[in-house]
Amino acid sequence: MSADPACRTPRWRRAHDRKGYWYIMPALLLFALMIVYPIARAFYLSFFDYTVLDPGSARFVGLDNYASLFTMASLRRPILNTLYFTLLFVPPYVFLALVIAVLLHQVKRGAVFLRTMIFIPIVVSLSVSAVMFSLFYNPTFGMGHKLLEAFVAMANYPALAGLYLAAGWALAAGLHRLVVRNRRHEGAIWRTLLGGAAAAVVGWLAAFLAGGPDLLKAPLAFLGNLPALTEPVLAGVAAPPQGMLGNADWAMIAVVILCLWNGIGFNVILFLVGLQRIPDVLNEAAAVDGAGPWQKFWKVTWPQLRPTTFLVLLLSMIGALKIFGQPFIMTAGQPEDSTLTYVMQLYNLAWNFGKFQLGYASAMAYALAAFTFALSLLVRKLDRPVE
Amino acid sequence: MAVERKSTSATLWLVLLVVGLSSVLPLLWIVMGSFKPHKQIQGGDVWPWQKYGVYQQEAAPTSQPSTAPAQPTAAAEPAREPQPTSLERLSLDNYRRVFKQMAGLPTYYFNTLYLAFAGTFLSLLVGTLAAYGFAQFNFRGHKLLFALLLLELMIPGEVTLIGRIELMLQLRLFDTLTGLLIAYVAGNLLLVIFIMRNVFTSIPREVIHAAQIDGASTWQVFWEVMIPMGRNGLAACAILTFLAIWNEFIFALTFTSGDRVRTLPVGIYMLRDQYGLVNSGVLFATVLLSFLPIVIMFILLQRYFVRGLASGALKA
Repeated sequence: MSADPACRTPRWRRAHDRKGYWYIMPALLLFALMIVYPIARAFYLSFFDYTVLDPGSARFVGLDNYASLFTMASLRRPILNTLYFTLLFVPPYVFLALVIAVLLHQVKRGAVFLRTMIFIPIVVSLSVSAVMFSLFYNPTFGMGHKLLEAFVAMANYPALAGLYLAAGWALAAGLHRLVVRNRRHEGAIWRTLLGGAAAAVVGWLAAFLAGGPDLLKAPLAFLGNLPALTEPVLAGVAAPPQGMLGNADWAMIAVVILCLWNGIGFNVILFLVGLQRIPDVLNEAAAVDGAGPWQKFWKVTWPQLRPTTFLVLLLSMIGALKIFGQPFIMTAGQPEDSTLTYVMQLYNLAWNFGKFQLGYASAMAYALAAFTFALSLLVRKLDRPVE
Repeated sequence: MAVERKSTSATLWLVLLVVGLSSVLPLLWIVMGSFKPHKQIQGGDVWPWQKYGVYQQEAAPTSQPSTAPAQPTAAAEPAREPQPTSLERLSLDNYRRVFKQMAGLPTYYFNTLYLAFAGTFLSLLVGTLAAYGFAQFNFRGHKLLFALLLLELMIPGEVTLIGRIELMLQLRLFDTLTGLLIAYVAGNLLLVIFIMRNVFTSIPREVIHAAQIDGASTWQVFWEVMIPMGRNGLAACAILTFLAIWNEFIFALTFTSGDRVRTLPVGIYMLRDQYGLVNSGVLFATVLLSFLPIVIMFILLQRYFVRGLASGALKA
């Protein structure tokens, strides 16, 4: 409309524009019914002591519901748990995704294959993956539990981990000499070390699949002559016999692993989109100026990705604060309320305990909304200087 | 240069392979387990190369770090009869049982498919109409209304949960597929409106003017110009909506109580508790059946999925 120099809109134009109402009408009706009304209703209810069972007894309590959010003992644990989850979950969720995306962006051959593999978990639904992982963590037959045992063994016997790493490095170094004739090539050794570590992990996984934790621990027999190497370092740390989900210390970690597995591909996609938006010119210019891959990342990729990173960080944090389904399905908040989250408590109060305390639950929902809103304002403010 | 690229990509490949393997392994584990009988799974025998009973025997010692590492197979073998290898025990028994015992499963499938297809269709229909309205018409208050929609995106869905429970009860839509359908359409509508409005505003004005000069009505412009030109955006929206509905858990859990209207995500959660300990093989098969269709669909339509997910998240 800016192209139109006339100040007054001609009549035919207004008649035309009025037709727009018809197009948005169905959406608007649905929106009013299913979104505006519930939101307004929840806001209204949040000032009442109200339950569905006995609507007549609704009592106006003003801000009491909100005030009791800070004082109710039954909320302290859920809030702490939710913050703990956010703290454990968000950093790897964002930065692991960034690393994966940057690596994936550079792969030329076979990118589709790798991408498909990495993205598959996204389409597995929340509840299916949660049920799947509760099998996965099962202490008698779960692969996840066996993996944990193997990891604990690696942590307990650094000599063992070192052995695998050394084997991977030796392999990679051998290949390196075969493949890379030009020894003067800069930075190649780092790549070899990284590749060796990756090879070690692949080999480790293969050994794990072939024989489980026992096979992985087998080399200890050969190291047996050196007792210093075969003493467990962290004797106190062991895979919990009742499984990760049955142990209050491990349960939240198990939930975090599931959420990472299920959701990280999503963040990888966001970062990939951000990476694709970086103009090639910048990278080429950096290459002409003689920047190595490391410099290229810090001087070109990272500043260009900052807006994306902030967006991903914000979405991840909001998602983490709303965590409900995964712990609900896997543990229902147990053991010892160690995985009871804020939204789960909200759901329990509104629905599950048979009390239907909708007024109080509404106040909880609004407090969460206000918190996430404040968070998004804060992140946006932090983001500003770059743009 | 060529050498550098080779060694770089080999390293990258290995690192990413680790990531990819960890993404796929749990799923593969379920696939393998779904062909095994309950007892064998309980014994920790899922992969074809493992021997039945290894973990059963070794379960106790492995939980404690022992200084004298066991030689698992050698220790376990003499104690018991030679067992048939895993490959001989591959069977479709679990699947037969799934369909025989779990009468609910086909219903869950049907409900989820119905909701996903009908919900996607309706969200796209209502959403694109509204997007067209917002993109093409300067009716009074269109900015305000659009800002209202934007504001709603900031409010987490949990807030609407409580109001909707009441609404469903009052409208007698509680525990019906129609109620869920309406909730899903309303829930996914906004995203469709946002994406499609952007798509529609990016269509060059000249194209629309040309159609108008040819005497096309607003409806014809919508149907014959906008929709064909917004194909890609529509596909992205369709995938996004379909996936969201297929996976939705909280509303489906809250708004339904009967087996008849249960969706797959809720159904599998209930089945876990019913069958989990009785027969893990059947549960493995059920889990497999509930992720397989969507995973296959994803592998086939990978490009569109990724594009859809990306555009959806960036607009949100």
